[in-house]
Amino acid sequence: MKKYILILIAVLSLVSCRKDAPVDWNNPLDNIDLYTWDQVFESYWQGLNYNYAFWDIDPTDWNQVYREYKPKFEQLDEYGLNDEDINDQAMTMFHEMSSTLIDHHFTATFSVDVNTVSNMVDPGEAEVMKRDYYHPNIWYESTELGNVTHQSILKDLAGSGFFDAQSVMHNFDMSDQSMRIFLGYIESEGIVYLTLNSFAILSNLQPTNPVGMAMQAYAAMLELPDLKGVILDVRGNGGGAADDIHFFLGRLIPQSPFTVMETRSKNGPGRYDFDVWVPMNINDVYFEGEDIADRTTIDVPVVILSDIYSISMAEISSMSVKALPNGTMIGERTYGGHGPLLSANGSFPVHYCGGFSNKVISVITSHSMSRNLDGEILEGIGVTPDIECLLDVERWKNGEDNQLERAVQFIKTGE
Amino acid sequence: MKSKILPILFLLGLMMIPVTGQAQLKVGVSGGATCNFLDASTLYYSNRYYAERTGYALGAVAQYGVTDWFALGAEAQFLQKNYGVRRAGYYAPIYEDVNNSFVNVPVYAQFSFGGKRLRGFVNVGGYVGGWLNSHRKGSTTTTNDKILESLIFDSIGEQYVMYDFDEKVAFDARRDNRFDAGLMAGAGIRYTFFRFMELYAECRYYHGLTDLQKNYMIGQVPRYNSTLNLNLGLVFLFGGK
Repeated sequence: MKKYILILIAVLSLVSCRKDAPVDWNNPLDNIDLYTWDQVFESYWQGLNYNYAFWDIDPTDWNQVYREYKPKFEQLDEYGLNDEDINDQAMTMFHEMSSTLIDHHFTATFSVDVNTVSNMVDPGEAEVMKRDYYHPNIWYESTELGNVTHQSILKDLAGSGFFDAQSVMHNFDMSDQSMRIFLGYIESEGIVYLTLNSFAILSNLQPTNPVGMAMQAYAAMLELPDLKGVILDVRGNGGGAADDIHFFLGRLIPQSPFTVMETRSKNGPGRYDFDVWVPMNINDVYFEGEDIADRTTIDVPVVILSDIYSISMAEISSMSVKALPNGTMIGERTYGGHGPLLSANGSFPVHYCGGFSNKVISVITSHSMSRNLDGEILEGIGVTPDIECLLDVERWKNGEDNQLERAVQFIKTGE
Repeated sequence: MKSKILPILFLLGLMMIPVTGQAQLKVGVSGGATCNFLDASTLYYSNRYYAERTGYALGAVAQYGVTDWFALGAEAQFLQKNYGVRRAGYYAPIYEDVNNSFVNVPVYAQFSFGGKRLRGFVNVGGYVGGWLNSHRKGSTTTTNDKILESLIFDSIGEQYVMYDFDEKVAFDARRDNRFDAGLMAGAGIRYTFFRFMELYAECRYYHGLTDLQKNYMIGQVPRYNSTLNLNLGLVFLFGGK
């Protein structure tokens, strides 16, 4: 009898031999109170552990990060979050542990007071600034570029008659980060030229909005009988709404829908739990009152001008133009932030990854990885141009745009 | 350590049971249905839940009757341990049906009771096996294909164009643990006819003890299969009375 009882106990013990789920996890999306640096570290580390979309390709050993930095943050516990010198130490460690993260959209901002160390972690920007062709964003004034901006050069070109009188210029005199757009027609060459500093077309598409008016004029210009080429300039464009791509490129695709790349989100808490690769398509769009039958297929050369500060939607646009049969990318290898993203906490319910935000930490990171039609994942690398043309900084300081000249030359000569 | 010693003691205990009567060999086939549930925490993924799903099972059966009430059995069984991943509310259009195929080799002790022809039985044992392949089918959301005509939407399927998929899933050597093992228990009835054939019906439960994943990440959420298996079997009897 004792033998059978022992056997029964043995079997019941085996039944309970399943590992438990982690018991000390916290939800980094909750507005939880974090009082010590160990708590902040746990929230940050766990948030990325479950929410980061790039563990498949990222070189960072996140397990080793935990083993190495957990004891160091525990040592800071007694100081709380109000000692600026201690906060500097903590921020230095956050910079170190995050330095190899490959997502070039990634930033982490900590709501603490610091002395000398930045409270914002941005490994992508740090990597980009080390590239040998680095230059500041052409939309902003900088001493490195002689305080000459993209806007000032375009204004001069418009004033000189390079663009015809029907050019549309919006927000060029604003000092804030509002969406700026310029649409011009180089009549002597038959080239439509469109540039914008960010993607917020859909939200500004009302007919009375200058952006909406510019986009309708753009659509009309593409129907001009003597059209010889199109230049889309996304240099210095920091990205924006993914839906804008239909309005930006919808006119130029050979068929609708047109697949330009694929994206993949996560579908579980495991680092390698991924959803399927989903095609990202461009669809043609029509404005009210347009007669679809009058539309012409755009088969002239389409050039996209991109540079080191073409980020996110600007890079997706560059990838998309390269996928066009008549598309060419000219300029510089882009920033390397290709994954779509939404606001912190906004993407998680859908994509099970992406940014998270609580009372101390705000992390911005993509909710999807992307790859081009050749299956290449270029996150952290950037899109390589078909024709490299680095910015000639000295000529730029003199108000000359060598990259725009190269784009015009390509359309005229095919070389 | 305890989990390794105790099964050995269990098998040694079984070997001490006295043998009476002439032993009988039974060989045959079985087939049936499975209903599997994935036992895994959803952490803070508050709109996510797992759904049990059915599948099928096919097997080759061998049993060795030590006495008329005690037998040892082993099988080679192909079976599906499927599950569904679902989301609640607004996100309900996003779903995934996962079909996982395994080969299991359960080894068990069978205790039977009742008359000469109609008998009840209980099986207790364990199994080892391997995860053969995986397939998923479902629907997910696109990134930038908004349905622009929609201004009011009750589900994500009304806001975004959905993407349907149906694909084989490649194993990820960093994550997937393809070794499967656990405990098995079952109960059923069998009927002997023509003196050399036996038909049985069994309800069986497989309690997976191996995580579907290798131990690759700190804070990992383990996943286990819990599988109900209804079988009909036909065996041929050799030897014995």
